[in-house]
Amino acid sequence: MYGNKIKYISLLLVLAFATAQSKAQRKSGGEFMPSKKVGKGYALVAYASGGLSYYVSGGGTTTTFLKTNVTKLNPLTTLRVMWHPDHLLRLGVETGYVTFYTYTLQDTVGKVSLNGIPLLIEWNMPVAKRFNVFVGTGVYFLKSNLDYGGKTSSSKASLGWMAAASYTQPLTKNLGVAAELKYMDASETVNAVMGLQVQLVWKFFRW
Amino acid sequence: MTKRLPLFLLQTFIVACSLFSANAQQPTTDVIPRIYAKSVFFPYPMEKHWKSSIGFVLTTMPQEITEEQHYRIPAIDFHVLKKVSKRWYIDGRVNAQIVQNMLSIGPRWATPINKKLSIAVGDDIACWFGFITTEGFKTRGGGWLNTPNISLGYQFNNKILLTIKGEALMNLSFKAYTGETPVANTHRLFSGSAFSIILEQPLYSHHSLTLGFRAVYTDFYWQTWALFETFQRNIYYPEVIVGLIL
Amino acid sequence: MKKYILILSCFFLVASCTKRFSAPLPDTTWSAFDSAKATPLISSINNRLEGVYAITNGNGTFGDTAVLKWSYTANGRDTSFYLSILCETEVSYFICEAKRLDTNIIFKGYWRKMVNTETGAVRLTISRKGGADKLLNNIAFASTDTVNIEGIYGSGPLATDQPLSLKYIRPLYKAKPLEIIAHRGGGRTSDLLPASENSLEIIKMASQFGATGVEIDVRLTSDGVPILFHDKSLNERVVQRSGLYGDIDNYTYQQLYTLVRLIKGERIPTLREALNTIVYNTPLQFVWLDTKYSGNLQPMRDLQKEFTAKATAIGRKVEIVIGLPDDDAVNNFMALKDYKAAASVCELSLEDVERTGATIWAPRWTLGKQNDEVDKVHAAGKRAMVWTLDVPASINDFITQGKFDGILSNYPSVTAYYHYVRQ
Repeated sequence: MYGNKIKYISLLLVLAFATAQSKAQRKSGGEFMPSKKVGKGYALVAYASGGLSYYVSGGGTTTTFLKTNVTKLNPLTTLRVMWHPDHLLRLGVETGYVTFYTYTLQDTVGKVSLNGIPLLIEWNMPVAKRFNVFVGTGVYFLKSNLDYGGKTSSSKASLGWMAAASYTQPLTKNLGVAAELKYMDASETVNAVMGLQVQLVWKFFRW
Repeated sequence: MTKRLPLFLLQTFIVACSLFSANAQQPTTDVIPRIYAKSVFFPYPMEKHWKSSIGFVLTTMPQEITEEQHYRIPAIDFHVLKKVSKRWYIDGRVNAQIVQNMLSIGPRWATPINKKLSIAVGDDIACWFGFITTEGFKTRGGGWLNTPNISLGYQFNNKILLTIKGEALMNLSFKAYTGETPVANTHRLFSGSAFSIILEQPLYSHHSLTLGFRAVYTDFYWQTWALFETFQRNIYYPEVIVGLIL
Repeated sequence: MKKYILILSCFFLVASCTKRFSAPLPDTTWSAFDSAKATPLISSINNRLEGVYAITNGNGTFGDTAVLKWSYTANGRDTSFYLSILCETEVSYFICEAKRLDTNIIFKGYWRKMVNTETGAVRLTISRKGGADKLLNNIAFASTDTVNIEGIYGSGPLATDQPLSLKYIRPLYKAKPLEIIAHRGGGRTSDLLPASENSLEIIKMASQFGATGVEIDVRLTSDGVPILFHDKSLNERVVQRSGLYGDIDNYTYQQLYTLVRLIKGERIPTLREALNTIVYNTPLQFVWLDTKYSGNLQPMRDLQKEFTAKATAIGRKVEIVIGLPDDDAVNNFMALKDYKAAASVCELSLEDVERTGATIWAPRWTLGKQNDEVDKVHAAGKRAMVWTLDVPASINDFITQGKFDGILSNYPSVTAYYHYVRQ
C-alpha cells in the first residue's frame, strides 16, 4: 500500500541524493547561481512556484457507492525558503496550497473539494549543474469543502512528505527561473499529488 | 512468532553473502583507511574516542492502534558513540518524550570491506519506561528490548555516507502497573524487525546531518505501551530520523 | 560498486513490504448442508446442547476446553440460530449454523482467532449415537449419556481436513450472572470482523460473539440527529474515502447519509435504527449508550424511554443506560428534568455515582479490581461494570478474583468463555 510507495520513492531519492551528488560534490558546478563567498558563505533563497497537480494517490478518491465526476487536475502553488550553508546540503521550509481533487455528484447537486496547506521541513541538494533535488516532511492541514444540502467546511491535520526535482536557469546573480516536478503526499490520510510548476528563485539574503 | 528470527537471519545471511561475494578484496587487517566525514550510523571503525549527535525521531502511529489517541510527538534523539578498540565501539542512544523514554546501549564491531564498503554488527539492549496519569491514578510501564543488528555502509566519496541497517526486534519484557497493581505483563519474544536507510553528510561549518528512514514492523512498539493493544500483527511504524552530528 | 548498493537497496525494499491485514470469511460451502435433504432444526434442542465441552481433537489449535452457546438473529418471522463455540487460545471462536440431516445434526460455519488474522471453515456432526437421537427426539439424557461432536476444520484457503472433536463435560456456569458487553456494538473495525464497528450489522453479530449486551457510541449530527460513531472526526480508520474529513458534528445527517459509508460499506446508523435492531432482531439485553458529545442529552433520553417501553411491549427486558464518561456529560445529564428516573452508567468517582443517581458504576480497568469499592456499590443497591478490558489474562483475573457485574470488552468471546467455564 502507500507505505511501500513511501519507501520506494524515499529510497530512490536517497540514492539520487547520494549517487549523483557524489559527482557534484567534487566540483562546484553543481551549485545554483554560484557567487563569491560573502562572510560565512551562507544565503537565504526563496522559491515561489505555481503550476498544476494531478491526484495520484493509490487510495483513490471516492468509493464506488458514490457516482461522481472527479477532477484530479488542479492548481498547485507553493512557497519555499531554503538556507544555503557552506556545504551542498540545504535546509528550509515550504508551504503552499494544494487542491488534491474535487468532485460533483452525478445523481444530485453536490460538490466536494479536498485541499491542503502543507508545512514542511525540507532538505535540498544540487545533484548536477542547475539540477536540484528536494525532500521534506511535515504536516498537511487538510480542508474538506462540501456543498450538498448546505455548505460545510472541516479540517484535519495529516503527516506527510514531499519530494521534488528542479532545473534552474539563472537570470541574474541572485535571480533564476526554474521548472520543478514535485510529489506531495499527505501520507497519513493517503492523499498525494504529482505537480509540475514554474518557479521563481531569488537569493535574497547573504551573510 | 519464532519463525521471524530465522527469517531475519536468512535475510542477514543473503546480504552478507552478496556483499562478500561481490567484493573480492579482503578487508585490510592492520591499516584502516581514514574516513573524513562525520557519522554516527555509518558502520566504520572509530578514530575519535567519542562521537555524538542530537536530533529527533518522528513516528506516525497507525490509527488502528492509537485511534483517537493518535499523536505525533517527535522523540528527542541523543546518540553517542565511544571507541573501545580498533574495531569495537559502544553505541548508545536516548529517545525521550518526557512521559516515555528509551535508553539503549550496545557493542559494535565494524570493519571496512574495501575502499568504499564497510560493515558492522552489533547487539543493543534497550530499556524503556513511561508514566501516564488517569483520573488521579498513575499508570507506569516499562520493559526491555534486545535488537541484534547489522549495518552496511557505502562511502560515495569522503563526505557522503549511506548506511543500510537491519534489526531483529526482541521484546524481553513488558510490565505495566496502576499504582502497585500489575495490569499487563504479556509479550512475545520475537516481536518483529526494522530496516533503515540513512544518509550522513556535512551541513554547515564542521557539522554534519543525519537523515534517515526506518521502517519498523512489530507487534509491540514501545511508544504504544499505554494502549495495551493485544494484536499479534507486525504493524508498520515509519520513523524519520534527523540528527545534527556534533 | 554502486550496483551492489542497488542490489542491497532492492533487498531493503523486499524486506520492507507493508502488509495490509484482513481476515476474510472463508468459503463455508458444504453440499450436504446446503442440500434439500437438510432441514432446519427445532429450537428446543438449543438449550440442551449448550455447555462446557472438552476439545479432544484440535486442542493444539483451540485449547482443551470450549463453551457452546446459542444465539439468534430475528428477521420478522424468520429467525436464524447460531451455535457459537468459544475458546481461550488466542481468543478463538466458531460461529455455525445447524440443520438436521437424516438422523444427524450437522453444523457449518467458520472459526476466527481475534488476536491475529487466522480463520477457516468448519463442518461438524452430531451422529445419532453421539447424542443426535436424543436431542432430535427430545429424549432426556441419562446420567451416563454425553454429546459427542465430530468434524473437520480448515485453515484459511486450505482444505477443510483437520479433525475436530468435542465432548460434553458439564453445563454452563450460571450461579452469578455477568453482563458480557461487546465494545462498539460488537467489536472494533481494527479487529477485522465481517462488519464495521458501530454498524447495525455488527450489532446483529454481537450475541454470536457471546455478548449479552453492547456498548455503542452516540454523537449528534449538526442538525441534532443521534448517530452511532466513535471518533470525533471522519477519518480513514472508520469510513471509506469520500474526500470528507473533520468533525462529524459539522455534517448534517443527510450529508452523512448520502456521502459517507463505514469501512465495510454500511451507512452510519442512527441511534433509533440501532435500538430498533437490538430490541427486535437480537437477544441482547443490555445497551450502554456511550455519550460522545457535549450537549443536550434529551434526544438520548427520549429514545431510551421509547425503546425500553417497546421492549417491554414485546415481552423482552432490555436495559438501556446512558453513559456518563466525564463531568460535562454528568452536567448535561443532571440538566434533564427526569434524570433521577433515567438509568445511567457513571465512569467517574463513587461520589459522582451517588450525585447522579447512576444505576451502574463503571471504572477503567487499569484502576484494578477495586473489590472494596465494588462492595460499597453493591451495598448501595447498584451494580459495577469495568471497561474496556481486552487482555485475556486480566479478563480471567477480573472474573475469578473480582466482583464486577459486567465486563466491557472487544473480546466478548473470551470473556464469555472465562465466565461460563467457572465451576
